Amino acid sequence: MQLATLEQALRERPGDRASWIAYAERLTERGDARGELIRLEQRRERLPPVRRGEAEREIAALVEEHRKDWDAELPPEADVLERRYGFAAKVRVEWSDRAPVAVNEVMRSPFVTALQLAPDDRMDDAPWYEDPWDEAPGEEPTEPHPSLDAGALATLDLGRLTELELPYLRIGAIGAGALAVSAHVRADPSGTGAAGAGRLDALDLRYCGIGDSGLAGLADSPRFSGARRLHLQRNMLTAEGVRALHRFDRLTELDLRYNDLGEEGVRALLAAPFAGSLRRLLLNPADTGAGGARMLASATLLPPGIRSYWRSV
Amino acid sequence: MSTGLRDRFFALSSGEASAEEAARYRAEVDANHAGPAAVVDGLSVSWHPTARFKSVRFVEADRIDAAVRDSFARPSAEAPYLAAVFVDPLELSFRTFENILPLDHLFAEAAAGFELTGREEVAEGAYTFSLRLPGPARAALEGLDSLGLYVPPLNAASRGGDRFIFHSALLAEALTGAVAKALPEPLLDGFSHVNPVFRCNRFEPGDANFHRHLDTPYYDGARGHVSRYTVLLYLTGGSGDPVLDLSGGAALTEIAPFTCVLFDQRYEHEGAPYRDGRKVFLRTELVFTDPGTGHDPEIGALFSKACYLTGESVFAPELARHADDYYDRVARAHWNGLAPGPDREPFVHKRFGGVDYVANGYDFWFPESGELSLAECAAITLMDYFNCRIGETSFRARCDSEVIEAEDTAWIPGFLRERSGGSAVPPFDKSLLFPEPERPVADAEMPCCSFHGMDGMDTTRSEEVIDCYIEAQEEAKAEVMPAPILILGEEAVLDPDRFAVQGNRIHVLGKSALAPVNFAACQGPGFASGDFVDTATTVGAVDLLVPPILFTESEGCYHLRFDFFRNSWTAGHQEQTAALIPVIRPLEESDFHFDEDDYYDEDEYDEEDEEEEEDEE
Repeated sequence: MQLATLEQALRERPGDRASWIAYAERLTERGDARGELIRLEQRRERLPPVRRGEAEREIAALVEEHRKDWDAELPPEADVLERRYGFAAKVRVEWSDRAPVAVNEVMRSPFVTALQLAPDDRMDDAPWYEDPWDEAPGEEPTEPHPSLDAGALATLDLGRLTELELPYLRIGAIGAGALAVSAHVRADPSGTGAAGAGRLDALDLRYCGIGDSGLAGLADSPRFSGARRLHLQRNMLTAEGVRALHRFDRLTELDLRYNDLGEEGVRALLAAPFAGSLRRLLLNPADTGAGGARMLASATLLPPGIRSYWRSV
Repeated sequence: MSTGLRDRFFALSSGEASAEEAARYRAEVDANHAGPAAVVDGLSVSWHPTARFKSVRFVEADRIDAAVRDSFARPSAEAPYLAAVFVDPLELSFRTFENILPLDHLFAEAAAGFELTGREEVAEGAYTFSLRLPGPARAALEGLDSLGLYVPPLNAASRGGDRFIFHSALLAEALTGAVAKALPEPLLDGFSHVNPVFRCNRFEPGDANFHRHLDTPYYDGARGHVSRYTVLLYLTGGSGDPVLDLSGGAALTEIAPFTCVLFDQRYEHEGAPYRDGRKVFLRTELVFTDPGTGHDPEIGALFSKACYLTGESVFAPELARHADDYYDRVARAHWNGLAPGPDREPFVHKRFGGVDYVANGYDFWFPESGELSLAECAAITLMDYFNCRIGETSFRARCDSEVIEAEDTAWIPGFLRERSGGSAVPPFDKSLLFPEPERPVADAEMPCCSFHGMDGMDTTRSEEVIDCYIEAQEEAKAEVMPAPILILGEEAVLDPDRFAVQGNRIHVLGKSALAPVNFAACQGPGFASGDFVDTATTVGAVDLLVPPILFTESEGCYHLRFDFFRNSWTAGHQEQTAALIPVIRPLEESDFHFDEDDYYDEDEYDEEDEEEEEDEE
């Protein structure tokens, strides 16, 4: 099997121990210490917890010796947040003009399937979120402008990711649209390849200011609408945005806090096809209003535990 | 009006009111539907009787919320630290049925120099003595009758008279010294102490007898303590025919004041009022250390059933008879082994939420269904056993119950199969109560006041607000996370991770110590970061530290067996504590506005203005 094919198989089935052993042999042939690391970690997992000490010491020594070399394969803008057998699995890149290049370099690392794009302190030091008291009565809140070159998002190759996080990065509705374009441009028409529909499992867009229209753009993209876990705190979403959420039909975890949904938004939420499958729903009474809270308390399609919570607030 | 209800209760309790007046008072109580004023010992309490809060008991006043404490009566001048509270009998459980009053202070200066003299063996294992004691001690004991602390006994159906229970280590210690000197040497083998819990009984001529019975022995498995002798200390003298009848032993017809009677607890006995005059006596036990004492699981099961049926008798009075029978059988079994019981025994079929089950206080049968987990069965068993409060109502009061008498348990699987299975205590993911705080904005400072720097401020990302939020979360988590059962408003939910099934046992994981949770958000003209941390909800955390629950599966039933008493002497159970679940609230319009009314009284301002104008003139 070609190395690239083996790597793709392992990205898709990271629990396939036999394939990892096959991969370990290939690594060892190339003099890559991660081959030994794979064998050590698998051996440790087979041992009872009380007898893992020696294996863990060996692993720690091996990682200590080689980690810098392994990380040197990544661009300097990348911080490794999670690893799998020494390979970067989740990476954080701080947004800058060079970020798109850095991200595309990160995506060449064989096992990165989770990416976090984060603002630097300068971008994040002055929240711009909605200020409804500046609006005239009855006037719709304006959508925030992005604090970055949102068009650059369209150039990112995010096709193989299962988790994408952009927390506190002000991409705005334009940025959300650019992400959708990125997915569209790189979509595999067959739907079976790396950019196949439904691969993305978790999407974190908290405080991104995407608004209803941005969310609608993402919902139109099969690449994003297959997500099961969605963080959408403080995105200026209204009932209209919640209706766009209906296209995320596999959702099981949803965080909609700090969006002024009101009763209409809750009604839209309860009409969503995923409402009966939600295991985790985070909202505050301030987001739903008293009427919305009552609707959640009596929504028989929600899990009983969530319903009980809303009956108590 | 409520003050009147409170004070008239004690006036009428003196027994001098006419039947008409008493009936009029009861009608007024039945028409009063006031809610609880406070919670003490996990019981909702009112300071006056109402349709719901009808059962009077006494508690140390400083355990009542200070805000309402002064509303509660202190009917005993000699024990002014005891307040009278009225409770809902439906909320009582075995932990709260008995009201044991702390009266040690009455004997602080008077519990010494006790001597038991004139020993007479009136029957095998039965002795009478005369108690000699200093004047102050005698006066303290004689004063017990006038404390005004009598409450109707729990087993009023099988006995006459009034009773209150008190605890005094000092009195017990003085009696222990006297007993150790007065008992025949062979009887002292293993003698440990006199039980410091005393029952003070009062009978008036004409009261019903205390029917023939065996005293339930005191038992503490952990310490190897068991009682063997009953102690009766008569505080008043009198005659009867007889006053005390020990079956197969002696019959005492004349009792002098301060006579002490000790008898083997194997004696079945009956007490009668004096022919003339008030009979007041204390009852307690001689406790012995007996390392050889074992625990027969069947006796434990029977005792568990007895306690349960006592609680259920509030709903089905006919069960009191069964409970008394069980207590009696337990007492006999302690000495002679467990004898066969009657052919039929009582079961209670209950429906809680959507769950039907059958219980007798030791065994709990649930239908095996896809919707009902073992953890839920265990949670329901515990909530029933401890009669947990769910919102404003006790568990048992929330159940639809019916008593079923049957010869055996074979009918139960079929009975439960016919009833629809459901779920009433759903699993709950506690992490929903504690979302991770957002990442704070670097170097963002709280505005100095509500006039400056509020624009653009995001409370959810303010470092100072988040610090307050985390602190409040940690306090709430300390209560909520270890609790196997949570009370959310009027509903109970369970944490599946706190119910560990191992073999045929369900281990319910709790914690041993509880601390109250206090988190207060403040609101004022100025503000602090804590102002933006609100309470999303208040969660009741039911903490339980209990022995494992045994279970078997057969014929489509989960059969759970729970014997709290077998291991309970070192185990504890505490009623739920309240945890306030914090939430960061966003800025509201009111945060920006200066409310003049908070600072100026318009009339006052006008007056001051006018005065100034006058001065100028």
